[in-house]
Amino acid sequence: MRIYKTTYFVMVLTALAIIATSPGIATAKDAKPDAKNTTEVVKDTKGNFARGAKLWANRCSSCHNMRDPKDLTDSEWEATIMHMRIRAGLSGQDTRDILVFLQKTN
Amino acid sequence: MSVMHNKSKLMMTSLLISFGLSTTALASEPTTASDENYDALKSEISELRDQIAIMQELLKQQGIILQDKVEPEVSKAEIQKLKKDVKKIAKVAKSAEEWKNTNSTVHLAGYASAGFSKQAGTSGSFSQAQFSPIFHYQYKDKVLLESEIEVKILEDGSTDVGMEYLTIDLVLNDYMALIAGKFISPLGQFRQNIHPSWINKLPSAPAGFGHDQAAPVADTGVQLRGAIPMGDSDMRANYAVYVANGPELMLDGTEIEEIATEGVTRDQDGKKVYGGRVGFNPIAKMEIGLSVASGKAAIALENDRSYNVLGADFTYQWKKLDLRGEYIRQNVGVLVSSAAPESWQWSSWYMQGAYKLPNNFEAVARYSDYDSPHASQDQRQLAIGLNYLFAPQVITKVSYEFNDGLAGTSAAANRIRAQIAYGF
Ligand code: HEC
Repeated sequence: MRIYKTTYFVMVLTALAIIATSPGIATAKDAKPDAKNTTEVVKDTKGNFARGAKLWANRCSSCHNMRDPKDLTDSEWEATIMHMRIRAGLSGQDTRDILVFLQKTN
Repeated sequence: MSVMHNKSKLMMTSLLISFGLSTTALASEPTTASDENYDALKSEISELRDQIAIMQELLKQQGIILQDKVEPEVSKAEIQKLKKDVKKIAKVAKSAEEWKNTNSTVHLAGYASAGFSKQAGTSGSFSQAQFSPIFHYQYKDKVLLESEIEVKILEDGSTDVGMEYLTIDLVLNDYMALIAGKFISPLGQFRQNIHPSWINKLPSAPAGFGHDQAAPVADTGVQLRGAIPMGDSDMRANYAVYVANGPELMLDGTEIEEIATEGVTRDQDGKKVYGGRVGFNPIAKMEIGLSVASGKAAIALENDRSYNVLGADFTYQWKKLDLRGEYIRQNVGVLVSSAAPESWQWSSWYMQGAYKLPNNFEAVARYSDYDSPHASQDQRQLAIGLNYLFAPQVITKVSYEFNDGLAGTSAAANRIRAQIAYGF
């Protein structure tokens, strides 16, 4: 019974991981189907300043006081935003957008 | 450039002079040697002399200006030094660039706090000195090692060192990260998001949200965390699911004295706990969370019994107002063979409102109600506080707690607390 339950859970986790890592589902590209250039079009690996500014304003004050972009250097923001990504469950895209905003305004 | 310019000016001036001289010479007619002519010629010559003098003066001035404009001679040694300087600067610039683009980043964060507390009827003491550094080692945007070490002074002056958490976080894709190690319980919001002293707006945890009370503190295992894709919408959602060793039950006579959720690395009952939380942000600055967990727990050397957690939380910011609240419940089921056979339950909830006042002041009020299986631990508390924010992460707090509990117990005593907290 106990083994079944553990196995079952591990299987569910694995399935979730596989689903989430599969390129067909991983990004929001379905929202903008571009036949030629799907992933690149939607997955903005550099991050977008304007989106980042908005997300920063909307998402960064729900647990603690808003932190000044000037508090940290570019590289410190890198680690901090990674930390916040894990803590707050931010998507990769939201993380990149917010990081660009913070690194440009610090 | 300006030297060239002046040179051409000089040439122009000399041309003009020679031209002027020749034309003047041509214009005059020295044919007759009459006195009149002689006199005229004489005066003309003296006029020309004056003109030449003026021209010479002008030329001289030009020369001075020229000399001033010419860059002073640069010695070889100076050039050599300049070259060296340029090389040095280039090196520094390059290293700065390299540093910026390294694959690995090291970062130290954390918080510290110093506090005072006074229970009604006592004289009070400086009761807290705590330092909680957080180490971050990051590899690209793929891996984060995060670890918080908690160092604090105990009542007797000795130092207590604890590992608050240590996880290695592997980012699997834009929506999922695998977290392994000892982590803060992902159930509810207070323990994982609010407990650091620079974040918590009051010097204490809500009743029931401390260690070994209603809210699970930590666990050791693995988690999957991340965002739930929401398309183009402004809404957001996040999740955390985990499997871990789960809590341990502490027996005292025929009662379960407490449920310990410190993230042990053994699994006394041999069975894991599974659980998670889903957070949903219907609008900006609002999150609603639901938590559940289920598994087994046991008293040492006894059989296992069921263990369940249920929680709900919310947070909302509106202008200068910050509202949050949470309910959490842990219970363990009946086990006939146990020394403490009945089912046991620990539950608590709180509501908190904080309002930012002018001049960096902030007022806070929180009501919490902890219901434990032991009447002596039950507590209803109203805490009010006034904070001054030196910076968003540097906060001084003064609070008063009105406590209601079993008469004569410390749970029933009112308290004054003060704290300075610094998040870095
Ligand atoms: C889900 C709650 C939550 C959200 C949302 C959140 N933070 Fe945090 N943040 C925390 C917690 C909790 C800590 C303290 C971490 C600890 O002590 O373990 C923290 C710490 C920090 C720190 C201190 C440095 C560090 O790495 O600990 C900075 C800076 C910070 N957050 C910035 C941000 C920014 C910018 C955002 C917006 C993207 C953000 N936070 C969103 C919970 C949150």
